[in-house]
Amino acid sequence: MDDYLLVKECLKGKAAAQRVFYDRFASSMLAVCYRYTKSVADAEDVLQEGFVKAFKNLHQFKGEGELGGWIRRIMVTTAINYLKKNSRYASELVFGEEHLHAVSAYQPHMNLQAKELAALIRQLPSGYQTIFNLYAVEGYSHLEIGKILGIQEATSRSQYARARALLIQWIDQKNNEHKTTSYAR
Amino acid sequence: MHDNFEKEVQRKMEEMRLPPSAPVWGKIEMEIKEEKKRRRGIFWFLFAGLLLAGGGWLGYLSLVSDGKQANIEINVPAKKSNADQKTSASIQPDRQPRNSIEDVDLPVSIEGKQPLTKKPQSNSTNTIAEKEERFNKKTPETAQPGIIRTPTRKEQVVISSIEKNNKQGNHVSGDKPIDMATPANEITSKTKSTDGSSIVKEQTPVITDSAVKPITGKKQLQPAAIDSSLKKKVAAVKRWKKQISLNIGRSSYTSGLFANAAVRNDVLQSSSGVTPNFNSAAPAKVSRGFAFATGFHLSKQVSKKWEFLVGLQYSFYSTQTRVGDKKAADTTVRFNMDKVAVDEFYTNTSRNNYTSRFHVVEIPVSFSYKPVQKAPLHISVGISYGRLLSTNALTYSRTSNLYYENKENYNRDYVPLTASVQYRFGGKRGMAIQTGPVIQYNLLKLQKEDLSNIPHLFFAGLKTDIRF
Repeated sequence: MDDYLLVKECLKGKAAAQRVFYDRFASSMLAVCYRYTKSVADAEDVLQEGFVKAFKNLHQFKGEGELGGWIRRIMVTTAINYLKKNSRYASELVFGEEHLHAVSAYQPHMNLQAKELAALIRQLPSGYQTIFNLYAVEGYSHLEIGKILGIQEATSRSQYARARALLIQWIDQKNNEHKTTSYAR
Repeated sequence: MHDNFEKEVQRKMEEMRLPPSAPVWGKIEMEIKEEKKRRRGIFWFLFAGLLLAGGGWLGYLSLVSDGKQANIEINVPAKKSNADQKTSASIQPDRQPRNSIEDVDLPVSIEGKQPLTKKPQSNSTNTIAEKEERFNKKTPETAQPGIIRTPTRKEQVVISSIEKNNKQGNHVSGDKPIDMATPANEITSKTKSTDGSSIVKEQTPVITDSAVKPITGKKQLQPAAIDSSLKKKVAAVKRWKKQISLNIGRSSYTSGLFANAAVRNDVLQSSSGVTPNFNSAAPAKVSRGFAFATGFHLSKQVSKKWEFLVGLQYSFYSTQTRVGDKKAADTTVRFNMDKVAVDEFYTNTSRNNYTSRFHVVEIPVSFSYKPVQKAPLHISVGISYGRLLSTNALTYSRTSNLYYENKENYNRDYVPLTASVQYRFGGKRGMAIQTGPVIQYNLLKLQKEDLSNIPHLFFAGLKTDIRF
């Protein structure tokens, strides 16, 4: 069943179609939610909320663009709202005025698995994590990120540069660990 | 601008898949259902509101028009030309509003030399005087003594006695029948010669030409033209009939029989030496209980055979269940994938009778069909929307094999289908009573989580309506 037909069936309220819809996107969307949160339970909470929103607003999907992209945007928005509402994350989403931090041109080797990389991203402080996800993974501009998070564009740039530098440092460390283990073998 | 690092991160993250745990879908599904119910609730609430508002508006119209109608009814005959006055008594009294016949036509009949036998009998003569008096009070300018003198009650008695005699062939004056062409004065004199009493003396001025004068007086009262739209409106409202309904019968659950079969199977197994399995625990037998419904309806004839009805009614349903002793102890039972804490429950040991009561308010909409034009038999089918006001019904927990009170488990919405066959007694115009068997089946499930196999409420009984 293609996406358009699936949406049509879901809009008719058919439970079977809703289940297919969920099965089709659940695992990829949980990965999205997982990157923004610190625990799988939180990620599942975001996923649940996101899917409920998606089903409620399915009539707004006009078939322009991919259904996956549409749901992903819902998930990202839901995740950010979740972080803002949740006290565990909210404190780390307060950004002060910072000096511009230049983005280094250094390119690390990416020998890590997707899960390892995701785990490193999740180790970043929530503010860095969110901005990194929004810019590097979702492809939002700093201007857009500023609007989403209610911060200055420059703050977003600065936070991103710091997050990137930290992540590259950790990636290098991981790469070195991998090398040491392989030499030891 | 994204460089290689960002692209690489993006690619890796796109690859990532993380299957969620099983309960996530269950929670999503529940939330979607809740949302659906909420929306449905809003829809029905608005629908019910519209119906009530419509009913109220119609009721208001009928009340308002009653006053206006009285004026129109008095005025309508007077609109007729003088030429018509002579024949106004034969203007099919049935088609005329009663007030107009009694107030206006009676004197004309004498003047117009129409047979008096067509006139209403003594009962109506009482109302003539009263209504005329009321009319005179309302319109003091027309109530000029001597000119608009209308028959009094005593006078009407004389008229009706004349009618009676005329019908029976007992002519007032000797054996000669009263010639209706005879001037009214002569009739009086003849009456006088027979009875010779003082009553007759009182009659003399009544049965004179002045009897016509009220019409003339009323005619002067008439507005130049009656608003035709108002007339139409009044006619439309008049088509709505009011009806009070009372249904009395028994209610039960439709699949109670199957549930009972399951219980019997368990009993058979255990008596034949097979150890009863705890998992096969079944709810106790559910038997019928007393039920009734009472309400107010408005009905409208949409064609010769079809009638539309809408109303508001209160329904009470009950069922009987055999439960065990009531225990006051803290326990948890499974409900909708969650655990519910319960502080008292009934065991499933079939010791005592428990009556589950359901109080529901309903908005019924139905169509009534009269298959044979001459036979007053009416077949009705309809649907209602109801809201459960309260219930004391218990919920059965199969895992714990006990009954507990869980109001959340009972659906608030009711959509019963109704079918009835009724025989109508009574006149076409006055009050009528119709009665006959009725059955009702609730389309919506009674319980959200149905573990007792009691999905739908069923009612059968006698329906009686009083129409007026």
